[in-house]
Amino acid sequence: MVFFWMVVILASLLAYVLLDGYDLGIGTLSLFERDAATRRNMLDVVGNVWDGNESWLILLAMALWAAFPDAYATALPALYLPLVVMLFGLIFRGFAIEMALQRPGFDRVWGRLFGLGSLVTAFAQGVALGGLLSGITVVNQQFAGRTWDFLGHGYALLTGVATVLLYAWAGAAQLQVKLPADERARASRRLRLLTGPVVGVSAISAGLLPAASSAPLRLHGVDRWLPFGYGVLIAAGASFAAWQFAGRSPRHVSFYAAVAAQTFGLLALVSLYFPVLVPPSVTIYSAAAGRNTLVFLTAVIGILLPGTIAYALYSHWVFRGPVTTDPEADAPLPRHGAAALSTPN
Amino acid sequence: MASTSFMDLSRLQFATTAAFHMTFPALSVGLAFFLVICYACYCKTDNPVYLQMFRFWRKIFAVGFALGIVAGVVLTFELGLNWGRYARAVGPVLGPMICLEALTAFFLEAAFIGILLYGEGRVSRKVTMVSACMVALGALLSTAWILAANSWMQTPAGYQEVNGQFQVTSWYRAIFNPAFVWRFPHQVLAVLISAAWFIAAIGAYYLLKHRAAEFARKTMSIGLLSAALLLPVQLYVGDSTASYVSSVYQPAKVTAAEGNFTSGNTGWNVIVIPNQPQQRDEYTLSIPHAGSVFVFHNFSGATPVPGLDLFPKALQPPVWPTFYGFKIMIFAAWGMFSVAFIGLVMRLRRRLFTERWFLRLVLWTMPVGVFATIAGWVVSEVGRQPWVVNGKLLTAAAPSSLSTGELIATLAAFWVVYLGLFGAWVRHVAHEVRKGPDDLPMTSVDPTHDRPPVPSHEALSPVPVGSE
Repeated sequence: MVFFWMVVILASLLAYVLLDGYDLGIGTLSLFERDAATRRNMLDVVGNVWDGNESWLILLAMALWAAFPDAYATALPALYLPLVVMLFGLIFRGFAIEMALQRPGFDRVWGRLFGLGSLVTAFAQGVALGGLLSGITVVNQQFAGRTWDFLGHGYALLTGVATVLLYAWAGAAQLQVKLPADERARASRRLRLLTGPVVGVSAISAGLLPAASSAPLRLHGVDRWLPFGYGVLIAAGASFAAWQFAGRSPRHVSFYAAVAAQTFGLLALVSLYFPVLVPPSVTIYSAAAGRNTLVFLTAVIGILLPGTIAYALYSHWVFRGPVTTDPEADAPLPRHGAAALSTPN
Repeated sequence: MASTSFMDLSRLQFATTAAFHMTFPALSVGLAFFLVICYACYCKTDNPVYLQMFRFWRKIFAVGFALGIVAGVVLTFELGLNWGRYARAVGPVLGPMICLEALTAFFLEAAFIGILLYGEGRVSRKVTMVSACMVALGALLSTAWILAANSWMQTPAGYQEVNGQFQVTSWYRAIFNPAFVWRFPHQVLAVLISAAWFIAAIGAYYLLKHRAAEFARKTMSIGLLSAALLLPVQLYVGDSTASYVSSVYQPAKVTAAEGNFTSGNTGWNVIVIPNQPQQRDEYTLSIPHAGSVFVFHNFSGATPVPGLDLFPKALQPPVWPTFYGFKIMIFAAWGMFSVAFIGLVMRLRRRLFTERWFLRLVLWTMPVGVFATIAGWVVSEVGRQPWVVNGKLLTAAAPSSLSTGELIATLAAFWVVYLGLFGAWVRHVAHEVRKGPDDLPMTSVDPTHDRPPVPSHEALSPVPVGSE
C-alpha cells in the first residue's frame, strides 16, 4: 500500500513535469521570440491547457500531504523561499495569460509577464528540487535547518538552470507540433540547439549529486543498478532521438522522445533514492499516513482518476492540431433566429 | 512552541492570502452559474442578447477565475510552508479531502474552462452548454470540499488521535461533520448572492448610462431577482448556522461575536469598544432586549446573552475582528435584503429600470456581498482562535520553524504583488465595462418601423459602443 502511494506520487510528479513543463518552457521561449504573431500563437497554445496542467501540481502536493504528511510537513518549510518564489511565478503566469488572451492582438506587458512568470517558476522548481535532493535537516519530524540550507552550496542553482533548459526543450518540441506551419522552423532550430545544453547540464547535475547530497546514494543490488542503468540509457537515447527528429516528419516524434527522456530520467533518479522521500532520513515508510487514509485514498483515486484523464484528453482533443485564429470567437453576434446558420458543422 | 510575533506573521500572511483568494471565488462561482443561465436562455430562445450577455460576462469571469485558481494554489502550499506542525497533524484527515477537491473539481473545471472560454467556433452549442454546466459544477464541488475540510477544523468528528496525528475512523462523519451541514449551504448562498449583486450593479450602470438597453435590463433583472430569492433563504441558513453550530460547538466564538464580557446583557450590541486585556467593554451601544430575541429567539426579551467571562482569558478569541466581522456580515445581509425587496416591488410596478436613485444605490453597493463573505470568514477563522482545530490543536502548536526575516520578506512581497494584481484586475473589469458588450446586430426598438429593419452589412461588424 505504501509503495503503491509512492508510485501515485511519482506519477503525479511525472504528469506535472511532462505537462506543465512544456507550457512553462513555451513561456520561457516566448521571451526570446522576436515575431509578435508567433508570440501570440505561443500564448494561444498555452492558454487553454495551463490550468489543467497546473492542477497536477495541486494533486501532487495534496496527495503528498494526504499519504505522506511527514514528508509534506518537513520538505515545504525547508524549501520555503524557492516555493514561495515559484508561487509568485505561477500567479503572474496565470493572471498574465488570461489578461493577454482577453485582449486582441499581442499585449506587450502581459505577454512579457507571462514569459517571466514561466521562467521564474521553472527556475524555482529546479532550485526546490536541488534543495530536496541535497538533503533536509529533520529533527522530531519537523524541519530544523536554516533558511538558506536549500541552496546546498550552490548545487540548487545548477538544478534550477537544468530545469529551465529541460522545460524549454520540451516546449520547443511541443511548439513544433502546435505552431502554424510557417512558424515551426524556428521552434525546430531551438529544439536542436537546446538538446546539447540540456543533456550536458543534466549530466553535470547527476555527476555532482553524490557530492551534494547528504543522503547515502546506493547502487548496490540489481534492483537498483538495473533500473538506473536502463533509465540513463533510455533517457540519453530519447534525447538523441528528439534531436534527430527535430524539424522532420512526423513532427510528434520529438515531443514523445522528450517525454520518454524525462520519464526515464526520473526513474533513474528515483532508483538512487528509493525508499527515501525527503533525504536523508524521511522514508516512505516513516512518513506514511495511517492505513485508513491510504485505503480511502486508493478507492477515491481508483474511481475518479480515469474520469479525470478522460475529460483532460477530450479537452486536448478539442484543441488538437496547430493553433488557428478562431473563426467564431471574435465574430459579431448573430441575428435573432439566425443562430442555427452559424452553428459549426 | 513558536514565539507569538513569529506565529502572528504567518497568521497575517495566511489571512492576507486567504482574503485575497476569497474575493475571486465569491464572484466567479456565481458568475459560472450566471453564464449557464445566459447560455441556456440563448439556446432556448435564440435571442442574441443572451449571447451578448454570455460573451460579456465570460470576459469578466475568465480573469477572475484564473486569479482564483492561482491564489488558491498559494493557500494549499502555505498549509505546509507556514504550518508544518499543523500539516503533519491533520494531513491524514484533510489531505484526502483536498485531494478529492483536486480530482473532482479542479480537473473538471480545468478541462472544460478552455472549451467554455476559447472553444466557440470549434465545438457545437451543445458542447459549450455542457462545458458551462461542468465549470459551474466544478465550482460547486470545490466549495463543498473546502467547506468540508474547514468545517472539520471547526467541529472535528470521526477521528482518533495517534502519536499527535489525527487518524480518521469514519470518513462519513469526518466529511459530513456537524458544521459542514449548515456552513456549506451558507457559503454557497453567500457566493451566489455576492455575484448576483455584482451583476445587478453592472446592469444598473448601463441603465444609468442609457447604453445597451436590453442587455442592461436583462442583466439587472436576473441579478436582482436571484438576490431577492436567495437572501431570505440565506438569512434563515445563516441564523441556523449560528444557532445549531456555533452556539453548540463553539460558544466562545458566539460570545466574542456578541461582544459582551459579562453574561447579564439581554440587549444586542451594535457598537462596542472592547478592552480585552482588562476584560471589559469601554463603550457599548446595544438595542435593549434584542439580544435575547436574536441569539435565543426568545421573544420575551429576558434571556441574557452569554459573555466571555465564561471562558478563561487564554481561550478567548480576539473580540475586535470577531465582533465587527459578524456585524459587517449581518448588516450587509439585512441591507441587501431590504434593497432587493424594494427592487422586487419596483420591478412589479414596472419602475425598476427608471428610478435613478435606486440604480445608483445598487451600483454603489456593488462589492457589498464580497465584503460580507470575507467578513464571515473572519468570524469563522478568528472566532475559532486560539485553536486551529477547535478544542484539539492550538494555533501556537501549528507553525513551521521559519526565520522571522524570511516571513517578513514574503509577507511584504505578498502585499505588494496582491495589491498590484488587485489593481490590475479592477482596471480590467472597469475597462471591459466601459467598453461595453458587443453590439447587437440591429436596434431592437426603432420607432419608424413596426418590425426591426433588415440589418445592413455595416451593422453586422462589431462597433464599440460609447467612448473611452
